[in-house]
Amino acid sequence: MALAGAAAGPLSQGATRAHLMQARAGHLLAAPAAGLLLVMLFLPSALVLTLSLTDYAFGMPGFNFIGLDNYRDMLTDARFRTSIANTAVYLAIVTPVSVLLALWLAIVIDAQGWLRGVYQTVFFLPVTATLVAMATAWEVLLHPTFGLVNNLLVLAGGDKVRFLSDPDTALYTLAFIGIWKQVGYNVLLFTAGLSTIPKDLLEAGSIDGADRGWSRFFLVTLPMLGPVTVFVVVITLIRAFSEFETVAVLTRGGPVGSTQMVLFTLYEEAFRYFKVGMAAALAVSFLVFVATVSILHARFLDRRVHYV
Amino acid sequence: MTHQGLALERVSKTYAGTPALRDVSLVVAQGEMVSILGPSGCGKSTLLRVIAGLDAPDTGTIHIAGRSVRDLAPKNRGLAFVFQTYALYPHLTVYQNIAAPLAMTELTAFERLPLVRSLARGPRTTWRSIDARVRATADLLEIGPMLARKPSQLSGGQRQRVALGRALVRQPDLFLLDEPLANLDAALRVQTRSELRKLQRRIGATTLFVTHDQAEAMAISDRIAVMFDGRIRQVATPDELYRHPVDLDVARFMSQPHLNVVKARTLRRTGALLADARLAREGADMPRVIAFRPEACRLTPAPDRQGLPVIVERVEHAGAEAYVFVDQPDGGGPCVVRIPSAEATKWPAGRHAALRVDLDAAWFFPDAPDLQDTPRAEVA
Repeated sequence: MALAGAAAGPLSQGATRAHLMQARAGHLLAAPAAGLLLVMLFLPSALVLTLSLTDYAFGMPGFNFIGLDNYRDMLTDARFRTSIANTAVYLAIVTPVSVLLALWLAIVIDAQGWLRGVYQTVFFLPVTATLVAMATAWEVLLHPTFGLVNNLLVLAGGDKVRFLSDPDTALYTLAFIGIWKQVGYNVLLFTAGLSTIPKDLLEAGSIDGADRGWSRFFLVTLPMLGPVTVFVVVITLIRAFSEFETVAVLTRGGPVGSTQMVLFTLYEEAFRYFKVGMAAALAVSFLVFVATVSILHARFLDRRVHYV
Repeated sequence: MTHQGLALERVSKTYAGTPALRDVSLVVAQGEMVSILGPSGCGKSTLLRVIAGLDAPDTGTIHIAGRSVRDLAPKNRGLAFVFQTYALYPHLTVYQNIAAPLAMTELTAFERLPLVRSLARGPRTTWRSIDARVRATADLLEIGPMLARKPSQLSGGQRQRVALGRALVRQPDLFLLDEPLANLDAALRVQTRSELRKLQRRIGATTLFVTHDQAEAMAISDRIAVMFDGRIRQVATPDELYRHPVDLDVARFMSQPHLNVVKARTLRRTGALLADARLAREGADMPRVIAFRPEACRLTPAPDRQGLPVIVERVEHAGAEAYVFVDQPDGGGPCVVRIPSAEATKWPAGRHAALRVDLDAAWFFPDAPDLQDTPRAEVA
């Protein structure tokens, strides 16, 4: 089309028309996607944003705009503050552990011979399993009286731990299950990343003296995994932040609010207390968090051109 | 086993049932530059990898600078490898890339830590010595101003120099270069290859240079080893290789783009050539082919009883020379004749002519099995 546009004289009018036609065709072709985006994403988001500024509750005939009151409550109300604090602790445990553990596992698995596929499958199983069912399995395993873990603890001469019903351990138990759930997915991503490292580079490393262990890891493997690592951290952050199933199935936020987390609180506000306006404010905060992380990730990716 | 840069003895390597190297033996003198020349898939890169220790040979022994390297890891073999892709560390600067092999071999992982490196005395001295060598190498290759840049900010030629620098800085016993010029554009390639040769002479490094480009190999090698199907067919100086190839494959490879191959029987049919004593002697006992370069024959106006009857098909102008493509009307296949380009107009397409072969500049080989199927004038 650039060529047609460059043509001079009587042709140029035709060229302009062709250009217009093409632009129209482009808009037409993009319209369905744009429409879907609008209906499925932007409208609901706008609606939620509006709702978050109201005191609307299910079953109420009307609502009032109350400005940023919901957001102020979120920051001052003890229950919300607990849920944010719990989520922060959960994030601080799950993200580093599941990322580093997955990186280590991926490198170890990558070095395996024929067992590689087996290991990959084993670690990926939690990702494919239904988490609600798996959470129930964990509940059985961790049960204070007949759970396997506690029986083993007693056998080893220790005391029983009420993993899920002791306020001191419940959040850490959930974090452990969260790591178990996330590691397989991260291993998969790291394995994919490892397979993209040019063989030449590893061989250059082995000739230069970095043929194994830490020296190879720091000279070649880790730098080449940089972009993947950033992505894994982002996806783990978002997933851990939106942890819901284990809380809903195993603890329902208890005992005494020790596992109250953001998404579960949102759910309770909306479907237990029917405070839609408050839930919407939480949803907006959630969206802001995810969007911030994603934007930071995109910025980071832009800066990594020299990795190619 | 002394005073040898490199000695290979009956090295074989099989990849998944396919032999990649068969009984390869080669001795390279200290300071010599030897090219491994062959078509892609002939095993030349495998040979380099086996020498470097990136792959283990199935059988055979390898000595570098007089010592067996069978039980040595690549990093301990005293060699440097320049990859076709250069394989620079993309996240490191030019300086760090060149320093990497020194830092990796002369410092422990602990000593490489930034704080230790500037505080502890031992590592600090080592770093100072590494720094001096990196800068000297950069000066040698004239990449001093680029030390702070990342590989992605360099041109192809500059990256190639950095890769060379990373190899040079270790002062290895043996340089292995795997098509290091293949990713450069044509003009830069010719310039870089002569610089490479100059550099090699200056530091006197034993060098093995893999290439598929015969002109490149001819231009810069002390000797050339020609490989086909995992075997070294011939090791010789460029001149000897050009004048006395041992078999038809080598002859074809060294005569790109064109080599004429004609059955001896076809030539014997023409009366005058029968009288040639050499042809009679060589061609008497078994079926043979005669190979000759476009410059080892000439065209005469037909009829000529001393030449092969041919028909001019087309003429290609190549500056000072022109190439006349002719066909044998009796089905003997096409040939190419080099003539001064001023005479090109004498041979219009369709003209009948005779092809006279200078048998002193021709080679006699056993019959080539593929002769029936492929055109005789090879085009690279």
